[in-house]
Amino acid sequence: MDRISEAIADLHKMDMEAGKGGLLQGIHPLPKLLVTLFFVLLTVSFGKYELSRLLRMGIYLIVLFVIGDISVKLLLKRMKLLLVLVCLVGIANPFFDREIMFFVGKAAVTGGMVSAATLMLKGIFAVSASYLLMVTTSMEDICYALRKLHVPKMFVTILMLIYRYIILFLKEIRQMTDAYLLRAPGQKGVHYKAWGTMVGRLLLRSMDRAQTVYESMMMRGYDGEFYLRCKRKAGGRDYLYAAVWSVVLIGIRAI
Amino acid sequence: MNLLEIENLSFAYENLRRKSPNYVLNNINLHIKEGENVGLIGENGAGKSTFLKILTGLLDMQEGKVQLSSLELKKENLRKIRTEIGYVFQDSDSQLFMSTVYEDVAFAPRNYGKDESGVQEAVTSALRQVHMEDKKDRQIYRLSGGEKKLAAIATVLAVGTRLMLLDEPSAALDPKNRRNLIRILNELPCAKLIASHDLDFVYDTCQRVILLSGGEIAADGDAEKILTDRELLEGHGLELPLSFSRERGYMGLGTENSHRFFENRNCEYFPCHKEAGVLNCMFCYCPLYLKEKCPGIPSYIEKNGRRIKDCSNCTFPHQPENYDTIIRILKE
Repeated sequence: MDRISEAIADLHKMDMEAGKGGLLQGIHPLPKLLVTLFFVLLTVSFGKYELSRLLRMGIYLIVLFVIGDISVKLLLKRMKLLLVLVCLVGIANPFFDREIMFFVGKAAVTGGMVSAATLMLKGIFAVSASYLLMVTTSMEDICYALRKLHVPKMFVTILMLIYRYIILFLKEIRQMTDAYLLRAPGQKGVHYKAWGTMVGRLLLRSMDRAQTVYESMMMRGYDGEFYLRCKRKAGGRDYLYAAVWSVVLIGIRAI
Repeated sequence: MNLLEIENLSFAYENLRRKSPNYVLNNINLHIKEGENVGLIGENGAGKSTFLKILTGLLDMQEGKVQLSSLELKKENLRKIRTEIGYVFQDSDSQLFMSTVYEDVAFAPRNYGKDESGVQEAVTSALRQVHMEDKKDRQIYRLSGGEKKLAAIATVLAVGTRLMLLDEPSAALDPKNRRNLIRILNELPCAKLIASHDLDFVYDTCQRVILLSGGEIAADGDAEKILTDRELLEGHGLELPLSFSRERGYMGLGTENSHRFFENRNCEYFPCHKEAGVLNCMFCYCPLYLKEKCPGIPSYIEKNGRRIKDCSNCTFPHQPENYDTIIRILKE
């Protein structure tokens, strides 16, 4: 399978995982979103040298990976690009902050190294928490929860449409590259001379596609807002989930 | 009673005030009755899709008058009109944009302000009409092409559409899904305007056909009359439907057309199927009709490479020695 098809299949799989009936999937999206936001907020609140304390926040992720039966390997595969970018954020710190903090054996560990590691870890934790939310909650449910939190409808609509449109966009790219490669035997990838034309065509085709989707929405009464509903109301189990994690996370942060 | 009335409708993609505008549609007059199935045929570029888009208000009408029941097609009436007219796009992938079938079908009822129990009722009813109740939680991408088309129809039915516009509904469907779509469309009570190049499909679903050519109505009348008029069709860039093609030497043996042939002529040879209320003759290949409504059919029988159904309830003596007689009757 080529990379584009793989990306499409991955998005579909994530949708499917979010829709299946697991322990985490069964929890109402609002508490899940709140806990995730709370986790990210607490994670980024750690000081730049608080690496060892930050590590404890990993408990949340480990527990969710275990009870949700979610593959870490898949996370690494799907998020590899993002994780690499996140890791690059603090890469320059060791060059600026050279104050020695402690020694590991004979090797000196500088403040820059610790702060770089802390930054990377914060990024990795935040990405992982978002990933966990996405594989256990459908995009409709996430958007529903965001609207419940009074996030502006324009933002939610854009988020929703981008997510849906990515798949159509990838399909267009696949169709165009397939058509190109079938007529360019032995060529590895698309020749750079064709990039301009292909991007132009892709833009036009994407606009056409977007227009059809928009017309389809208009035909069904779309007036600028997705009226999203959740299949069920939040119950005791959902409140308990939010309460337990809030206490645990505050506890970890405070110690 | 007329559901849709169109008077002197003209449309050009450029300004009509120009000296000689290039009309895509020119002076169209027609009406569609409640519950009527009308086929819209014409060669590529005849203006079929443009016509459908004007009726839905996706393209602005420039001249003429379109009236749906008591509502005139105007910007201020569009929201109301779109609950009465549903549009099934040619590309179902673009029409279905939510994650699951349920969410997609529920999109319109929610937009029109139904509460969740009303939405659920509308979705269930729409999916029941297209026989997809069991697939409501299915992810859209996991549907086959035929199922996507049915889901797209359900999205339109969910708001209680009275006139359904379908743009090339049989495009990219395999024979089985195509036949299933024909059956479902024939079951739906709402009026339909079906734009298609698939003339066999049009014949199987519509009683009336409108032939568009050069932006004008070249013919409007009984489907069988227009679709068997070789001269008329070929004069406007079309060809006879395969089932009427003289070169084939038979009248769509084993197709939807053959059962209609018998039904129209009150065929006396297949009483059990008629009693069961089945539209098909015993030569129809579609197992869905017969399995559902005539459980006495145990299997297929092969004759000269052609599959013929055997029905134990049938009083017609269709023993092997009679097959030649049956085929002769069909040919005649």
